Amino acid sequence: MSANAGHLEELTWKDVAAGIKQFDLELYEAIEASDLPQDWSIFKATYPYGAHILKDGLFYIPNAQGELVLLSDESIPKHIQKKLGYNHNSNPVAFVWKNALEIFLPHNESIFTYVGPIAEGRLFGASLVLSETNARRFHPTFLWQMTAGARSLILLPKIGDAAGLDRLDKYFKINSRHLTSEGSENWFLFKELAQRLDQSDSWSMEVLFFSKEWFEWSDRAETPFKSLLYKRNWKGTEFWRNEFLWNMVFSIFKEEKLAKINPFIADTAKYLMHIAVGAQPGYAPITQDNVVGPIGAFQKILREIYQIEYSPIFMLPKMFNLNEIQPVYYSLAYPNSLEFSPNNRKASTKINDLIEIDYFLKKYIGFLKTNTLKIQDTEFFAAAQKVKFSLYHQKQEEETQSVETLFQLDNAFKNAVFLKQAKGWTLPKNAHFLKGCIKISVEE
Amino acid sequence: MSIAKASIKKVSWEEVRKRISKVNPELAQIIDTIGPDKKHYLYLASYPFGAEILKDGILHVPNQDGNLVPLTDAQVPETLQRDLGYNLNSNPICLILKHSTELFIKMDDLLITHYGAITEGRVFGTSRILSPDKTEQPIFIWNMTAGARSLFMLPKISEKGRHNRLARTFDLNMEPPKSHLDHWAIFKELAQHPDFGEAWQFETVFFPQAWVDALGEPNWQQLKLFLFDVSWDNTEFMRSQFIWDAMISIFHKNRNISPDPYLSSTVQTLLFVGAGWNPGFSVATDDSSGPIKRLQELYLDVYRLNDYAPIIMQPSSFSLKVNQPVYYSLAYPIATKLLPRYKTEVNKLSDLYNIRSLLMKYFHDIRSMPLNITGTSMYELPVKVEYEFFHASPEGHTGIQACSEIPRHDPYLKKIARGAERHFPTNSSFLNGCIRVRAKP
Repeated sequence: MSANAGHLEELTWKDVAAGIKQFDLELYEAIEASDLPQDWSIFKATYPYGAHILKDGLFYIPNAQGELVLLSDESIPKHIQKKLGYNHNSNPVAFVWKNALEIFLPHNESIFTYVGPIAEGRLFGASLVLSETNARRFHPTFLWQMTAGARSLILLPKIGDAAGLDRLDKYFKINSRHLTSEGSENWFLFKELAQRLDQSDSWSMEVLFFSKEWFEWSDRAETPFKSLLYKRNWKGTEFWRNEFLWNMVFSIFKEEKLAKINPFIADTAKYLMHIAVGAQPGYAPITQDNVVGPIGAFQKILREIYQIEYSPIFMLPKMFNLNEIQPVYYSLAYPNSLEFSPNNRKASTKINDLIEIDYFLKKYIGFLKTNTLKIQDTEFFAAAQKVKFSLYHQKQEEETQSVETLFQLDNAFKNAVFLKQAKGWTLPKNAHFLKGCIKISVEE
Repeated sequence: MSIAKASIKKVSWEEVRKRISKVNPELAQIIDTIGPDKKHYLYLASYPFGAEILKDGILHVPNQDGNLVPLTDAQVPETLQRDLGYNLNSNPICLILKHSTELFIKMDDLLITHYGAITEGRVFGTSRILSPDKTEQPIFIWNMTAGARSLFMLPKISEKGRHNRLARTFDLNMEPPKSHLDHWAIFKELAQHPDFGEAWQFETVFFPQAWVDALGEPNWQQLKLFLFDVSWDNTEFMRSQFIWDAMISIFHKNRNISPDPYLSSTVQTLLFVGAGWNPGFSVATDDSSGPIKRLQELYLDVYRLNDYAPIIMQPSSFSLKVNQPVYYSLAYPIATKLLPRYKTEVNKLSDLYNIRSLLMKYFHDIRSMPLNITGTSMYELPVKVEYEFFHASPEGHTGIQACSEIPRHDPYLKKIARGAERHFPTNSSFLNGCIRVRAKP
């Protein structure tokens, strides 16, 4: 079978228990304590880089030939369809066994990533099984997509050199111009390249799917497992459950402080605070090879075949944590929100936008710090005390810093190239991503 | 007759189990299985109509004289403070035993309400204790009243002479109400007068700190699971609201339209009213949200409402099972978020028409676009829920009916005490520009 084919294997708890114990002791203990039947199925599925696990909310799974087909496809045995056909035909409850996947929503010509890549050792997809007995169902399966490996990859340097693209086309027998776009949306190209990697560089990810019987809640013995699912999902939805309150706080602030504010500036500032509290992702350089995709192999191709001039640094969605020193970045060129107002200000420049966003953010943070709305003991209040926003642009103004400074201050950029011959490369200071970029870090 | 006073007392599980069993049998059964010992006592609290249980996020409890003081007040015994202060001195976990309460924020001329009326048997206040590590839930500036805060009389009650008669009888030092939002303060003053004639009380059980601590113990896991079940169900909409917001923007993009933000937000609110999340208003036909019958009597006999039926409206969530119509009025928007405000002059009739038109567009898209939303309450709306639009003078606007048509399809209006021989208050400002949500016949 080709390295690019998928694979599906039916297992039981005893086959995966030791592995899960290594990743997630709490989950292991909850399942063990629940004293559940040992023969309940768990499926291990393997997907190549870029494969759709979920497309428009519908679940794709490898058949016996290794092809990815809809769960309802006739090539999938009936007993598997029955065991995995819950969760309204969306993805079953899943545990990432090896490497990572990403859940996202295509929206307004961009990608809304839910939490960024979900790496090995993470359990997800239990929201609907916990809601089966709810009086009213609001949560739709919707148009979610899920791919093996990262979907929101951004390569900092632009790939637009005609000679370089010709070399890629010739070497890999592809049409790279159809696979790249104006911005840095190059995922289609990398997906294509991933399918043509040598066996030694080939990349896949593995995920465990729990079968239906695990969630046909009926017995009190299930309590530890169900409680853990609730605990994880309660924590995972902390921000979304309270988003309406923070929208209200933001509206009250706008009404009180700044009646006339451009909606684009206001929406961006609001989103930046969401990044600061770790509710929505910013971006950071990829510093670990082969987790979210065959990054080192991509860099090697860019270096040796495309002959890229700049350091092939990949950026990836990452959740900011107030208790860690690693900063994250937000680029005006890559909005990641479902509710951004369009930037209709024709006369505005990115640098002006940056300055206005910063001014507005400072006012908002000042408002949060006053605690007039009694928000103490929340991440928003903590972020208001600790977070720092720094502005970067190729063109330097009094309020902004140079892109060179950005590279110097964050070692992650130095650690983002996995090739030995990386030394001496030019940093991609003209990257589209960095043209109007905000660093979110902890105030020193 | 004496004044209704607030009270709070320690009770054992045995003392309240019968009452809890009546309003929430599942919870009672779980607690029975645990068999709490003496150190796991509860508090039974009672508040008169209009009492502010939560004021700017701080729990208020009765002192020895039955007057409400903040939980943090020096008059409150330390044990009580320790027992009930675990939610940052906001409300602890509550179970409503009798009547209902409303959680809201009051901002200028707008009341932002959460859930609408929270009724008998409901458990709430669990969010923070289920998030022990990191939370995004602030104490915030919530207020909570015994009975509904958003109660109002549908017919006009601002006539000076009649209001003064009521004021003289009950020694009210209050001006006639200027808006529907002002009605509650008068109702509250009346209900707390010694001669009101009825001691309406809201009753709740507060769960002390010891119960929260015990949730970590093995034999209490069923209770913890129950609290998760309830909280998960209660937050179903909040957890998925961002998807519905995205869906609306997909509709706009697909049609290449940019509706006025006020109209778009109003239509979105109407969708959520129909799906049972955002509350609207319904006709009060019992005393669950306040001493309705007695207030109606006073407005008939003392205020002497002309020929109009004393219809009191209460906040209410629409449900296909109950199928009592609920109303949303452009004159009294009851929302869970701040609606964008108009900057220009308002034409209610054309707004109503445009809202209906936009709603029909959304309905079409909900059913026809491949959005994978089947099985949700929102998907069912266009086929199961009827939206009717009313205005005092709807001439020339298709799909908008005269307010006089309202009584035809609301059987609950017939249940108003002494309402049969009286007229429906067609001229109420609430009805002029209102939308009724009811089950499709």
